[in-house]
Amino acid sequence: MKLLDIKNINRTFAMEETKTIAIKDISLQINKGEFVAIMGPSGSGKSTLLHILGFLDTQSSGEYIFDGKSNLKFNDKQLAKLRNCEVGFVFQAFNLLGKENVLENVKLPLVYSDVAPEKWDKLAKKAIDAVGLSHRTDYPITRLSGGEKQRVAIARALVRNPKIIFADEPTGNLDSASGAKIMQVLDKLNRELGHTIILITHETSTAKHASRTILLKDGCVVSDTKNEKRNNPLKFKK
Amino acid sequence: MIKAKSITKTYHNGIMETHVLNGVDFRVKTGDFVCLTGKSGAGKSTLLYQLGLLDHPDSGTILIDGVDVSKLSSKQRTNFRLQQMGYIFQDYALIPDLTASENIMVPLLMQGYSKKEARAKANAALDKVGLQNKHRNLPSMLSGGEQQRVAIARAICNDPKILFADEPTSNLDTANAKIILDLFKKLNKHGQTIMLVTHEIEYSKYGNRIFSMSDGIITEL
Repeated sequence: MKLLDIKNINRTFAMEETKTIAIKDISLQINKGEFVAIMGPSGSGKSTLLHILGFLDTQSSGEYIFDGKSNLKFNDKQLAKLRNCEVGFVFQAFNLLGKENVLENVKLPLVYSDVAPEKWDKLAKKAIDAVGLSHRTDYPITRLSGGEKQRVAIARALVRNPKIIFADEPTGNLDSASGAKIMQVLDKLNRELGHTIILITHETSTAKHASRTILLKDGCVVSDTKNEKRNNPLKFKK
Repeated sequence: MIKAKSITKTYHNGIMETHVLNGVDFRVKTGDFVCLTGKSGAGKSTLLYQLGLLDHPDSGTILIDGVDVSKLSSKQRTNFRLQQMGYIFQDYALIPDLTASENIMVPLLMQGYSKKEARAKANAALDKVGLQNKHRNLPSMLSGGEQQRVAIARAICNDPKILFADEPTSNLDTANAKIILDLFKKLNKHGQTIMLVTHEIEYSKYGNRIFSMSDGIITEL
């Protein structure tokens, strides 16, 4: 079932007299339950595309239909609600609140939602459990390793049970062992819990976890392939 | 307002011990604009973290408005920080998928304000930092200087007793750094107590009290 459908999307940035075309005429569809890796060299348009798909930016031209509705039909308030409720984000830099503990960080999207406060702890703990960090629930963020911080960020992205999770280089700041653990978590979320995931990475080993790989170059899609040899996930460990 | 006495802090890394604070005595009065300078590694940020209740000293006492903060439970410390202190860091620490206004609302909603009250306070704080037209902008749509002003708005939205700023201008060019420092000066004129950590000695002239730190020892200049 189609979740995202973009048709002839372009994105241009104008800086004084220079014009940069970041995305050139991209069309693609992503179905519910897919795990898509977007790859490409630096400057190929990966993050720009992810920002448009995640409602953090808008295309210069072309059409983007999310779950049956054009992104241009949403006003600012509706876009903010979409970002808060329907999609989850994981960024390279974690973007956690340094002075709060794990539970408070994961609860964050709930505090500006319509979810009743008495449900916040339960939902947050469920998301923390899904990333294997139940034993760190009350830990201050400052006492966590980089890999654990990223798992907190994933739990925060999950807590509203979003239709889709966008992950922008989620292993970029991590050593390979911590990065592998993050990929196990994303693998599990996709295979066992059915979350749709779009991941940006420049590492082939990371992209192997996805069921489909889209390669960008100079703002265009140069290949879009199913990953027949998708990595078998290692047994998930806490 | 803040009385710190004989504060020590040592970091351990395997068999290595680094004494970062060596018995620091320090006072901040209501309405002060304190600037703390010193070289990298001198212990400035470590002291700010102890006074801002973001860390625990190994020994010594910290009294804030007469309250011995070592006696507070973890939950009381969290509430104390949320209600009485504002923080600004070098990296802005904004959440990329929330608008400027929503980023400021987060700590207010965590304190139990209704969405309506939180939004009104957030927008008033954005007005104070001169970003009245940017309420709905995402951080990626703002310049570095504007992002730092959103972080300042977030820190002041609940009228904290004291504002802690740790190298808030380090990622900014000189013109934007001046905008931020002028903003601190303006807030201080209106009664906001500020503690600013900066390694740029020329920025310390903005404060009414200037301290220098070296090897974990503090000196008023």
